[in-house]
Amino acid sequence: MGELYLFYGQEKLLIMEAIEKIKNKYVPEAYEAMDFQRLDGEEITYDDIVNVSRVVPMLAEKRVVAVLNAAFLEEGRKSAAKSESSENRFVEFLENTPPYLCLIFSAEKVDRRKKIFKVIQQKGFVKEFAPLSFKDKVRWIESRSLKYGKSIEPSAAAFMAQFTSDLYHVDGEIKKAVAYVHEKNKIEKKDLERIMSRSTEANIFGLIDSIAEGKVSHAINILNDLMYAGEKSLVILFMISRYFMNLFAIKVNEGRTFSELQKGLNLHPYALKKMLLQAKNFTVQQVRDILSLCQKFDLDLKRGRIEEKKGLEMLILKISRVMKN
Amino acid sequence: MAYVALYRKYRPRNFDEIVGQEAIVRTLKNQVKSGKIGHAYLFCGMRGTGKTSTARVLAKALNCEHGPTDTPCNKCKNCIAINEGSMMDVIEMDAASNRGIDDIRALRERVNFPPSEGRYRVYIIDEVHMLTTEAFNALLKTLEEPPRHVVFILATTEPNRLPATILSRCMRFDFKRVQAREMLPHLKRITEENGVDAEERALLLVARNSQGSMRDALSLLDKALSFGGNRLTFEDALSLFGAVGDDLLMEIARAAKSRNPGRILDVIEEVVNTGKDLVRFADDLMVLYRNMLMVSVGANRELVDVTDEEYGRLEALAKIYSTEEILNSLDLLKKAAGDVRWASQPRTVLEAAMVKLAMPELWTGDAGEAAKVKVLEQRVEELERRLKELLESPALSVQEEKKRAKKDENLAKVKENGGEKGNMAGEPLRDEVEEKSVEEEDMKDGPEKPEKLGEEAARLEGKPEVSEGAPGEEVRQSPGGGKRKKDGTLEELKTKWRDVLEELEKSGKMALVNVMKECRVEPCDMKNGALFLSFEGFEGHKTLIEMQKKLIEEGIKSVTGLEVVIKGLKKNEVAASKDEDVSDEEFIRSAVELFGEDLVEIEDE
Repeated sequence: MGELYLFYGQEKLLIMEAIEKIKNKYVPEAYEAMDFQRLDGEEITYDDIVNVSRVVPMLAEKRVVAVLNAAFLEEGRKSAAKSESSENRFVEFLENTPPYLCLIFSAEKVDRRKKIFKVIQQKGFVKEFAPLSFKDKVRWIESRSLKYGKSIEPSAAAFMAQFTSDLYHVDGEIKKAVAYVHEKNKIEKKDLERIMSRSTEANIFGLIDSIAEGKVSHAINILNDLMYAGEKSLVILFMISRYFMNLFAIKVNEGRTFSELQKGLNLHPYALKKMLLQAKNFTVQQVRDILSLCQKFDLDLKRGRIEEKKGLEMLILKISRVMKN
Repeated sequence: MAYVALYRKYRPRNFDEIVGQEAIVRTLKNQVKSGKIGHAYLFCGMRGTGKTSTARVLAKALNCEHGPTDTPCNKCKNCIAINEGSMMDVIEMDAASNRGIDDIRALRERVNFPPSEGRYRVYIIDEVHMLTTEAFNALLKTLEEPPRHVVFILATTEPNRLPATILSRCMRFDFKRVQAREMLPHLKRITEENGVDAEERALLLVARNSQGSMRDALSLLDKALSFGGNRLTFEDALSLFGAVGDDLLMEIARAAKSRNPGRILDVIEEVVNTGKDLVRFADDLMVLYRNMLMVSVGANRELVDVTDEEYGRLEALAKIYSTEEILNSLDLLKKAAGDVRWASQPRTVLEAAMVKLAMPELWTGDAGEAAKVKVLEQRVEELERRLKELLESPALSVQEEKKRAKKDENLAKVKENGGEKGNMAGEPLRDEVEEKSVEEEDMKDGPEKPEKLGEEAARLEGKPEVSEGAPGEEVRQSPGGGKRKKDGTLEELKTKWRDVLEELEKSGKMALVNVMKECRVEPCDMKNGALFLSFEGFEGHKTLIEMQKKLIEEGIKSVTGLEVVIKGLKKNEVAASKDEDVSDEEFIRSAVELFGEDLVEIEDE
C-alpha cells in the first residue's frame, strides 16, 4: 500500500514546503529528474495520473508524484473526470495504490463530499493549511528570519505581519529585508519602513484607521503612498465615505446588539468591533459634517476643480478639523 | 554621430548611477554579492524612476563575465551585449504589445532552455500590468515553479492592476519618486560634462518640474540647454517653464498674512508684465500653500519635494500661519485657480482672489465656519439669558423690556456689520440671489460672473448654502419688538426721500439711484423701524435693490438720522396685476394665438 496525501488551503507556501519535505525524504536530489513527477491538476485526466503513478521508481526508495492544483477536488469542478467510469477506475486505484508510490494532491479548496476526497481521507492523510492567525504569522516571521540568518525585532515582525498578505509575500519581504540589512544581524522596524512594500489593502485600512483616530500626518503619509502606487483617488474617497457611512449607521443605531449591527451593515466582525471603538471619537453631527465634506469633495473632483491628491489631503485635514471641534 | 537625447545617453550603467533609490540598490547589491537571488522581481514605480534601467543593471550584474558582481564591468562581451540589447539570455518583452496568452505560452516554452552565453536567463517584462487575465494565469504557473537558471523581472507603473497571486510570488520593490534634491548632483554632473555653465537654482527648477521622474528631468534639461546655449540661468529656466520664482510666491504668502493686499497686487503686476502664465501662477501658489500645510501638520519630510534650505523657509512661513488659515486659503485658491482658467479676465479674477487672501475677514466671515458659529453662539447665549430671566420673573416692567430692547439692537448692529463685510466679498450676495431666482443672474455685476460656474455646485450642495442667507435675515427681524417709533416718521421720510436719493447720488451710487427712480422706489409703510418700500418693475431690479439695501439704509440715516431696517419691497398694485396675475386660461389663449393651435399642448401638472 502506497502513501497518499492531500494538502489544501490558502497558504500555498506551506503546502509547497510540505511537499518538498516529503520529496526530500524519499527522493535524493540526484534522482529527482527520474523519480519525482510534478503534474498540473487543472489539465490532467484521471487516467494520466494513474499511468504516471504506476511507473516503478528507478533509483529512489519511492516514486513521488505531486498533483498540484487538483481542480477535480474542488466543488463543482469536474475537469479531470471525462466520464463516470474513469473516475471509478481512479477511485479503485487510490484504494489500492502500489507500495512504491507516494502520491500527493494539493488544492486551494476541496469538496468534502466527493468520493475521491473520502477515499484519500480513509486511506491517506489530509491536512488543511488555512491562513495563519496574526500571532502565528508573527511567530512564523520570526522563525523564518532566523532561518535566513537574521533575527528580527518583535515590533518589526508585527509590523510586517500587519502589512503583508499571504506567506509568499511575507517570504519575499523577509528575503528583501535580510539582503537590505546585510551586515547587521537584526532586522529593525526602521529597516522595514525603508524597504518593505505594503499591500494596498492593508494600506487603505491603515489610512482609514489613522483618519478615524486623528493621526493626521500618518494618514497623509499613507495617502501619498497609496496615490503613488497608482490607487485611484475615487476609490480612496469611496473607502473613506463608506467608512463614515457605516459609522453613521452605527451612531444612529446605538443600543442595538452586536449581531444585529453586523447583520444589518454586513461588516466583518473584526472591522465592526474596531468601528464600535472608533465610534466613540465622534458625535453624530461630526459624522454628518464629515460626510458632507466627502460629498463636496466628490463634486469638486468630478468637476475638475481640484487636483486629486491635494484635494484628498485637504479632505483628510478638514475631517481632522471637524473632529477637533 | 547623430544626437542622442540626454536621457538615453545617461541611462545608468551600474548600480551606483541609479539616482534616488538607495534602499533598493543596496538590497539588490547585497543579494548579488551573497548569491541569494530571487527568481522573480517586481519593480513598481512611476515613469522615469529607473525600473527598466535597474532591471538591465541587474541582468548585467548576474551575467557579467567577471561576476556575478555588484559592479558589472560594462566592458566584457556580455555587458556590452546587454547594453546594446543583443544578449541572447536577456529577453526584454514589452507586455503592452505582447499581452496575449500566446505570447506568454511562447515564453514558457523557451524558459526551460538553459542560458547559452551567460549564467542566467533574465526575462524583463515591461508594463506587465497590460497582460490579459489568461496571460497572467499562464505566467503565474511559470513564476511558481521557475527553472533555476531563470530570473524574471516584471516592471510596471500600476502594481494595483496585477492579480494578488502574481504580487505575492514576486519580490517587490517600490521605486519612489526621485526627490529634486537627489536629482540635483546628477544634473550638475551632466551639465558639467556637456560644458554648460548652469546656475544651481535653474537646475533645481528643472528637477522640481520633473515631478520625480528622472527621465522627464533630463528631457527638460535637454530643452533648457538648447534654449540657453552654453549658459543656463535661473531666468532662462523660469521663462522656459512660464513659472514664477519661489521668492515671489513666498512673498505673497507673507504679504497675505501681514494683510498687505497692495504688495500682492504689485507682485501680480510683475507676473503679468513678465508675460507669465496666470493659471500656472495660481497653481504654483497652491502648491506652496499645500507644502506649507504639509509642514504645518508635520507630514513626512519626503512629501515636500524641496531642498533643505527651502524647507527651512517653508517651516518659517508655516509657523506664522495656523493650519486652519492655510486650509481656508487653500479653499480660496482652489476656487480662484478654477476661475482663472475660465475667466475672460483672468487677471481681475486673480487679483480679487488675492485681495481676499490678504483680508480673510472679507470671506471667512461666511466661508469660515468659525466666524459664523461665533455669531450664532452669541445669539444662543442671549436667547438663553432671556429665557432664564423670563422664567425667573414672569412679570417684567416695561422699562426693563425697553432696556433689553436697546441691547438687542446693538447686538443686531454688530451682526449686520458682519453681514456687510460678507456682501463685499460677493459670496452671500450670490446666495441671496440664488434664493430668489436663478434667472436673475444676468443682473449681477461683472466681476462676479466667473462665480456663476460655482453656483450650480452651491445649489447642489443644498441645505447649508440655502440657509446661509438666513442668519442675516433673522437678525433684521430681531429688533422688531424693540423699536417704538411713531408713524410720523414715515411722513418725514417721505418728504425727505428726494434728499435721500440726492445723498446717495452724491456718494456715487448713480446706478442704484437710477434704478430706484425708474422703479419708483419710495417709502410706503413703516412699522417699528422696519421700512417697506414701494416698487414696480422687473424682478431683476428688485433683487438689485435688495442687494444694496444697506446703502439705502445708510443714506436714510445720514439724511434723517433715522435708523431703519428695510424689510422688503412691496409691488405697486397696478404693476403687479400686469406682471403676475395672468390666469392659466389667458396664458393658454395667448400661447395659442402666438404658436397656433397645433403646436400648443396643454398638460396638467
